[in-house]
This record gives sequence, C-alpha cells and structure tokens, in this order.
Amino acid sequence: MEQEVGASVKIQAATQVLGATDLRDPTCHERWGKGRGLTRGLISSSGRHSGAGSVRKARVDTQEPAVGTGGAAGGGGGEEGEHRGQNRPRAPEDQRSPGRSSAGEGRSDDEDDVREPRGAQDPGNEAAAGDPDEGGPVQQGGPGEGAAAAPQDAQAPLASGPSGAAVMARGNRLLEFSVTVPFRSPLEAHMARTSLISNAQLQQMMVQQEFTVDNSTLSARLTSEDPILFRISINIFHDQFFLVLRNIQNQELVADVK
Amino acid sequence: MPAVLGFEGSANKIGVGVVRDGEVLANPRRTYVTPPGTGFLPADTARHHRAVILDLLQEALTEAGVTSQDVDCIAYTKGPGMGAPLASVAVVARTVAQLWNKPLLGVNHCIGHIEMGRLITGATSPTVLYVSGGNTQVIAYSEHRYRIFGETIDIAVGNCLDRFARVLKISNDPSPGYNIEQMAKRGTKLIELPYTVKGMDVSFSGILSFIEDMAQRMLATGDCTPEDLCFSLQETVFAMLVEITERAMAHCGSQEALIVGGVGCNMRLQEMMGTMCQERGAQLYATDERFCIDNGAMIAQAGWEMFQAGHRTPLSESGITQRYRTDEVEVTWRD
Repeated sequence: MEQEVGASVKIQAATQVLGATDLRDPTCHERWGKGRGLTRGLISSSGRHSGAGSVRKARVDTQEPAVGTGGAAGGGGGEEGEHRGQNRPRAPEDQRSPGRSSAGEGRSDDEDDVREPRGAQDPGNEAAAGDPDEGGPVQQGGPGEGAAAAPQDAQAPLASGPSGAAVMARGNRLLEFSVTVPFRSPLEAHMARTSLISNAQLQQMMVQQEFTVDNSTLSARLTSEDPILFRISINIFHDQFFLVLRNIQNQELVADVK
Repeated sequence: MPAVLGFEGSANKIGVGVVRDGEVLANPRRTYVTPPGTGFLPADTARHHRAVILDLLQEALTEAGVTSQDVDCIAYTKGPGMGAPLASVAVVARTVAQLWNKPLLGVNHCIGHIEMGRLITGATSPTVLYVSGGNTQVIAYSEHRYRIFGETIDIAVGNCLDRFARVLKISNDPSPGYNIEQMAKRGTKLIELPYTVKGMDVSFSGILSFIEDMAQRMLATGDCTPEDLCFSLQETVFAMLVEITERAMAHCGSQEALIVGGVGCNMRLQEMMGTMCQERGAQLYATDERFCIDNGAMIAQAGWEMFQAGHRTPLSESGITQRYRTDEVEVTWRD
C-alpha cells in the first residue's frame, strides 16, 4: 500500500506474506534504516494462528524522535504505580526476553525511560518491534542518519507487497500506519473489529484509528501527528489485536453466523 | 438461575469470577507483583494481564463447572482504574461476549466491591468505607444511587501506604499493605504525623510527603524503627478514616458500617472501626481477603444484579472509563 504525500517524504513498509519471498531492498534500507532511534514494528504470527486470522508479516520503519515526554495514550491515569525509580520492574514477557525493551503504552510520560528496539519475541503472542534477527535490510547501518535526513529529501518508498502495513510521513508530520489481516470468516473479522474499536475511540483526539471489514478481511489504519503517540498506539494495537486472536482461537464459536 | 462471568483487571490484580444466584462458583485471581521499592506501571501491568487472562478464564470455568452455554452474561470492569489494564480486560470480555453470543455488562469497580460486601456480609443498608490502593470513599445508598459522602481529595489511603512501602523497600509480595500491617504490629513508638481531615474528606498526600521526608532522617539517627513508622502511619490514616465514616453514619443515622476494598483486609482498621461502631451501638461488617481484594467475583455479582434489573451494555458503548464515579450508576436493582 503506497500513498503519495505532500512533502514527498515517504516511509513505506516492506510487506511479506508468510512463506513468500521476502521483499528487501538494501538500497532502500540505507536511506531509511540508518540513524539512531529508528524503530521497527513487525507483525507476525506463528502457525498456531493460521486459520484464525493469519497475519501478513509486515515490517514497518518509523522515524522516531528524540526521547522525551509525550502523551499517555493508552497509558492511563492510574493512581498507582507512577514510579520513576531506577529499579524498573520487568513484566513477565520482558523477563523472558532480556533484550526486549519495556517501552510501550503508558511509558511515554517517563523521562527516565530509554527506548530501545524490542528483541525477539514469541511471534505467536505479540508483535515484536524492531527485531533485527528477522533479517532484511534493516540490520544494516546505524539508525537515525537516513531518517534524520528524510524530511529534507524526496525519498523513494521502500518496496511494498501486494497488501500490508505501510507507514507514511507527510509534510505536516501526519504519520499513517495501515495493515490488513485476513480471517477465516467475515464473522471473525467483525468480532475482531468490534472488540478493538471501542478502545480505539478513547484515543481519537490524538490518534485516529479506523477499522473496516471487507468480507473476511480486517483493515486497520492509524494516523497521528504525534510520533510518540503514534508509535505507542501501534504497539497497543498489536497487543490487543493478538489478544483477540488468541481469544478467538481458545474459545468455541457459539455465535450465529450472520 | 442466571450465571454471570465477571472480569476484573483495573489495577495489578486480574481476576475472573463466576456467580450464580448469590453463590460464588469460582474466583481465581493473579497479582502482578513488582520488586521492592517499585510500583506497577500501566503498560507492564496490562502485559501481565494479557499473558494470564485466557488461562484464568479457563480456570474459572473449570472450577465453576460451567461451560459457555451455562453463562448468561459477561460482566467486566468498565472503570475506574488504570487505562491499559482496563482496556486489555475489556477486549477479552467483548470478544468472549461475541463468541458466546451473550450480553455484555460494564460494571463500576466500586459498586462491585459494595455489592460483593453486601452479599457476603448480609448487611442491609450500611455506610460503606471503600478503601483501596486507588480509591478512598465513604458511601451510602440513597434513592437509587451510591452517594459519596466523603472521599480523599488527593491520593487513596492504599496508595499512601504502598508508596511509603517503597520508601522502606518493603516487599510487594503479597502486597505492600499487608507487609506494613505485619511490621506495624511490632511498632512501639507513635510518631506524630500530619492528620488531615477536611470536613467529610481526607487528604493523604501531605502525610505521605512528610513521612517520606522524615523517615530516612529518623531511621538514620535511630529515633525510631521502620516498625514504628509503619505503626504511626497506620494509626494516623486509619483514625482519619474512622472519623469521616463516623461523621457519615451520624449524618445518615446509619447503624451499619461495611468496609470494602483491599485496605479493608487490614485487621487494625477493622479493629478501630469496630471500636467506633461499638461506641455508637452500630454493627461493623467486613470481608476476608478473597473478596476485599480486587476479584472477578465481585464484578460478576454486581453484573448479576444489573443483569437481573435489565441492564445491558451495547458493544458500541463498551469502552472503559478511567474516571468512573460511584454515583454515576443508577442502582435500579435496589429500592
């Protein structure tokens, strides 16, 4: 999926259908893969998910600004746990993957947090952001250099697959993320949309989220001008989406087919 | 005999409960415990909940001996609480409701505590002291609303205790409040701390700032022990709570007091409240840690009441609300 935007700054994801040839362009990566602070979102699913919402693997390159305070989309205003100590607790999944950053929703307001690309994860459970072991041109070079120059230059987009995730940056810094996911049936796709959309409505002020269903395919589109909230929202989407997938797989389907 | 499945996950406890006609059929729970000196953050807490909730659901169904077809309604915590954990639990509740083709009910967390307290204790119309890590309210029922007579104007009493526990690096397992209670039993010296009651309301941020500031100095000079600090903090904050509860009981002419919420497990608080009630000729009710601490069954019980009264939450309106006031809910299931 590719869109031409005003300032001719395009960040486009390489997409990959599970089992198909990986679409990688080392020259594109040299423009977009270098520079500090570049994070990657990887949507993947294991064989366990096949048949209940198999997900097209998509690699998303997002230019990430300097670490600082930001909004708290999805983070909540919880009265407990607002702690900025040095001994940061690690969630169970963090403890299983030592290289994984605990950055994500709810952490954007913590000035002490240093965001690092996530390490490898169980692909069946969560989206892994920035997994260099997945291969591809993103491993080459240091992050940030190409990304820092991106707004100034008219860059050619990364190679794209037939359909899948794409991230765009406009001249007015409107970032866009989109992904399409096939399900086994229209009912499951509608269920997933209904389960996800209510939470998305809470964040509509800063991050616009759209979920549409076409037959048995769910399409999600996130847009925002705030890069921090944008990245957080993508992570939240990934987390909740895979929770829905696991739920559908685990539970018997009793609902009438509409 | 409708059976309701309830999901709770507004803070660091995630629970799934099954209730049928006032009987708790299952109530498994998991707690996200962080290292000493730290608290729990929304993102990490939500990650914990997502990792265990589906297993917990299966555990609840197995323990209750029910299947999806036996469940009549799915209840979940709509709020108040922490955003990310609430959202994660709500996603599962919506999905289960669609998969099983059951109606969905968003429940107010505070009302869940109250309804479970009423069910377990049999209290008819008590003045409720709701004290937890996230909430501190004095509540009484009047004309189809749980009215808030008094509350904290800043942080909850449980939050005060939890954050003080971090200062002393007290373990969070099983909970910082419990460990403070055990240490307080060994305290012998009462240190004067700021006592802040403002009419029907209380304030804990000042006492927390004060004790955070002076604790290290006093411990370093040997003026007191950590046990003395725990004892002094408990005595002071609990006395504040007893005062505002008694004031509410006097205002309402109530002869019953009910303590709910995680801090309600504290035996010293129950003792102090019991003394106050005894002096007034009133009856004190309290539950044990199974139902004081956040749990799924309380959401299921409140959902059961709401379901019987005809409440339903459309999927389009099944979002979460971090700031969900107790008196926003119309209590149609009571006279």
